[in-house]
Amino acid sequence: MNALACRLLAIFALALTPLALSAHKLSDSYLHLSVDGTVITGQWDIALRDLEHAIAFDANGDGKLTWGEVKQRHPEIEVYALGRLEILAGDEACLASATEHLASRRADGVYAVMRFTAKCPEPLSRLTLGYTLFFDLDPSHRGLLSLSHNGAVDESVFGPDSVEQRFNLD
Amino acid sequence: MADEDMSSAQNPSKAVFNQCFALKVLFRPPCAYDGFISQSISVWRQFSQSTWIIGYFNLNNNVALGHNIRSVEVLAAVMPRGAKTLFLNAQPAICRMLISGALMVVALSSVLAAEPFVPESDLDVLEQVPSSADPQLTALRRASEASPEALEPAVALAAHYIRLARAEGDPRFYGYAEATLAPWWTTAQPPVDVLVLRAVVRQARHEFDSALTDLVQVNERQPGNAQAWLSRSVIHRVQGDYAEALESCLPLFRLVNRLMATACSASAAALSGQAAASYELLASEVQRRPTRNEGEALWFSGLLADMAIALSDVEKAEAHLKSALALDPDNPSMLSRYADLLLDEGRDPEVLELLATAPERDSILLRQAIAKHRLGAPDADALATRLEEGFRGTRARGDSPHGRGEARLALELRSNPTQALDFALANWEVQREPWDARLVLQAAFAADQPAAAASVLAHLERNGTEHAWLEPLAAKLREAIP
Repeated sequence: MNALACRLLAIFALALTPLALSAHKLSDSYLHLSVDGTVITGQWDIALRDLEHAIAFDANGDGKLTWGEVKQRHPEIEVYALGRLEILAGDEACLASATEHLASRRADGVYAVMRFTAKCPEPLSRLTLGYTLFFDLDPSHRGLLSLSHNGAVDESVFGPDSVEQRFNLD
Repeated sequence: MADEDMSSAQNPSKAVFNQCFALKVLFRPPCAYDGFISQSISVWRQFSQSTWIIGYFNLNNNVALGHNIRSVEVLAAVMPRGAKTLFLNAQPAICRMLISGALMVVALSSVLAAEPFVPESDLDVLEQVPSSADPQLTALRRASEASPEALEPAVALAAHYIRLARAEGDPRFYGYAEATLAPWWTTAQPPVDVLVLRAVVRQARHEFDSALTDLVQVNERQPGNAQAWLSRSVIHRVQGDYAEALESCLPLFRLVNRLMATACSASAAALSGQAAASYELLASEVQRRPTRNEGEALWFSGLLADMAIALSDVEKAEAHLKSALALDPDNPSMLSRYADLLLDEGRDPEVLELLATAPERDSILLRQAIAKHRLGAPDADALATRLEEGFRGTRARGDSPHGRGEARLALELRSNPTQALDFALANWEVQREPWDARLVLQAAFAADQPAAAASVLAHLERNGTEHAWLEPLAAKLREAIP
């Protein structure tokens, strides 16, 4: 075994990239929220398949979603998704806006990742969340919430029968 | 999510732990995504398994780790045939370390792939969504969206979604169908067309009782609806109510061709004491009047295969399955049946051959995992872990995983018969086909809890069920119950 073969093997190994296969599951989105004073930082992973059904970004209708096609619809994704997530501090609405758009691979496909911040008019002690994403198109969709505050993490599931949930953050 | 793997699992899968350990050795990152590593590597392996040998190597093969684990193994990235030999003979050790390093970087990159990233190029294809290129679907959606309260376009669209759900094995489409039929779904007396589709959706979700209610209503309003009678019969059979199943077949003799009606009743009779006679009857009818309808032919082949297996006639079963797969080579339920037959015959390598290009379904993955486990393949564990993660995800969203997969995985891949028994008994409450009985009996036997199998044994006795899978085990368990 000479040094060249050794090096070639190493290069070969590096050249390969893993693929994510998709075994279909029911539709879930993953919503991480982190509360700090009056600001909520969020990351929302939403399956591209689901967004495609709702917003339709396959511009050339070839059954393949490219990053370019998704990028073009980022403003619409922001409006569509954040428009279906209500964030209330007490009785006052917090305004959310997207800060970054990325993608991520999971076992069942590629997800659009939208990072956002929401600014609340007062420090958060009672947080109310209203989640209605996709329920009108797919009642089997669920929003999986992970809420971090003061070092604690609350987990919850949004469904058509539980669109609004309240959290005491004190 | 992945943190739970390390902290909460009582028995972290060894391969996952080993890979994590290997990462720690080389890179010392926090092991937050070990699940993703094993998953990505096993995915990689599957992608390339038809043309490459998988090499795996020991990272610290001479180091006694002092723990109760095997020496650390890392799944190699795909290696060409020659390379495996080269590598295993590689001297000095530093060369192997270099390669392991490279492979770990690759593994790490697969970890990072699960992290959010920005694709490099606008042309990168992120997802394949065949339905977005389906002109028929687009037209149906447009028609339905134009008048959402109009029944006909909604029914047409929902029916199309249901076809897609089956074709792609994607349960989302049942949700889309439900949403399309929303204006009628919760009314007291939905139109018959809606009831029929709702019953299909409910049956797919294993909501058998409410599906039956819908179908009974359909037949009350449409006594001539043969499909409803047939579906009722199937549900009754799945629930182990053979008398009701047979009763639901009777109207078919007036409504559809004789072969269909015979198949319906034979499938119920086969499980209630008439195994041999039912097989003979159906086999001869099928031979005498072969159907040109592919869907029917597939259904008959499946029934005949099941009956032959119950009668221990492996040869005939195989013939039926081969003819089914000739019609539809990617049919997941036929592939699953065939894989089960091969596994029971100890023909494990053939299972992997059979399923090499099968569509991605949990049922297929499970059988691949079992075959690999028996063959000692390095990625069997990763496959099992991936399936378990899927079950966990189902629970996380508030659902419970359907039936047999969890029980069989616990029994055959995790050697945890107690847990398998729990899953199998819970499954028995929902469905009572031979597979469901088999899982209870196998788990009860392996867990040394024969009394737990009492309700299954009673059911089999009451119905006079004869089945090669069940008789030997049932006899042993009956002996063991005081």
